[in-house]
Amino acid sequence: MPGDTPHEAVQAFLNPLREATAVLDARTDIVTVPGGGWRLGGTYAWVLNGADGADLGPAGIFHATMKFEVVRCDPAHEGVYRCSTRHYRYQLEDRSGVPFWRLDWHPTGIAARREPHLHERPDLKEHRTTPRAGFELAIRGCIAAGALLTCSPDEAEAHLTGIEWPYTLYRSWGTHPDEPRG
Amino acid sequence: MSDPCAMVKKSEVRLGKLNEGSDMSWRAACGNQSEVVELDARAANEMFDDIARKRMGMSGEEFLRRYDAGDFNDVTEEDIPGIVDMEIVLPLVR
Repeated sequence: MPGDTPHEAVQAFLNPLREATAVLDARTDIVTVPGGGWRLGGTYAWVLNGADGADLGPAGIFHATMKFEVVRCDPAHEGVYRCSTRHYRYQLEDRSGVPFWRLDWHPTGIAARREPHLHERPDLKEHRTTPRAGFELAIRGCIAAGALLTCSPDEAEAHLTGIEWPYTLYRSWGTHPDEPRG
Repeated sequence: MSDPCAMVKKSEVRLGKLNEGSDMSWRAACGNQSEVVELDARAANEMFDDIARKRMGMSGEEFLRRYDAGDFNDVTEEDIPGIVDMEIVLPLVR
C-alpha cells in the first residue's frame, strides 16, 4: 500500500495489519519502533503485543513479527513509497510455549532460508515449503484452531479477505521470491 | 444500529479508508481496541530484552554482544528457533 511520504507508507502498511486482528477477541497491538524516523531504505520491525504475544484463549498464544523496509513504489503503481516485507514469523503456541505451527520466511541472516516455509507438529524441525503467507492467513490458522472472535466466522473471513486483497496488487511476489515479475 | 461487523465488511475496508479511524465504531462494538503502538528507544530496549529472554534465555544486551562476536554464526534454526525471532526484531534496537 503506497504513501506520499515514508510515514504515510508505514501507516498504510501497519494499519491494515492492526485492522486484520480486529476479528480476534484479544489485545492485539502492532508494536513498532520508528527509531530515528521513518525513511526511505530504513528497515524496521513490528511485533504483535511484544514478547507475550496475543492470548487467543483455547487456541493458544499467537506470536507474530515482521521485518519490513520502506522502498520506492514500482513506477507502474500509484504512490511514491510503500513498505516491503523482508522477513516474517507467525506462530501459534500452546501455553507451555511449544508451537502448534510456525509460518516462516527469513531469506537472509544466520538461519537464512530462501523459501517461505511451515513448521508444524509432530516434527517442528521439518521445513515444508509454502507460498508466501500473509498475516491474514496466519489469523485464519488461529481461527481454525479455535481463537475467540469478535464476530462470526463468516464475518471474520469477509473482513480478512477485504483487507488482504489490496496487498496482492502491490507485493512483488506471491509464490516464490524468485518468480518472474512483470 | 446496523450490524457493525457487516458494516465493516461492506464499506470500511475499502482502499484508502484504513488510515482514517473510520472503523472506530465497529471496533468499539466488537471489543477489540488494538492499536499501532510506536515505542521510544527505552521501551524498545525493554521489549527487545523481554523477547531475548523468552526466545534465547538471555538478556537483550547479552544477545547483542554475543551476536556481534559471532557466537551464533553456526547456529541453525533447528537448533535454536529463537535465532530467527531475534534477527527479525533487531531493527527494534538498531
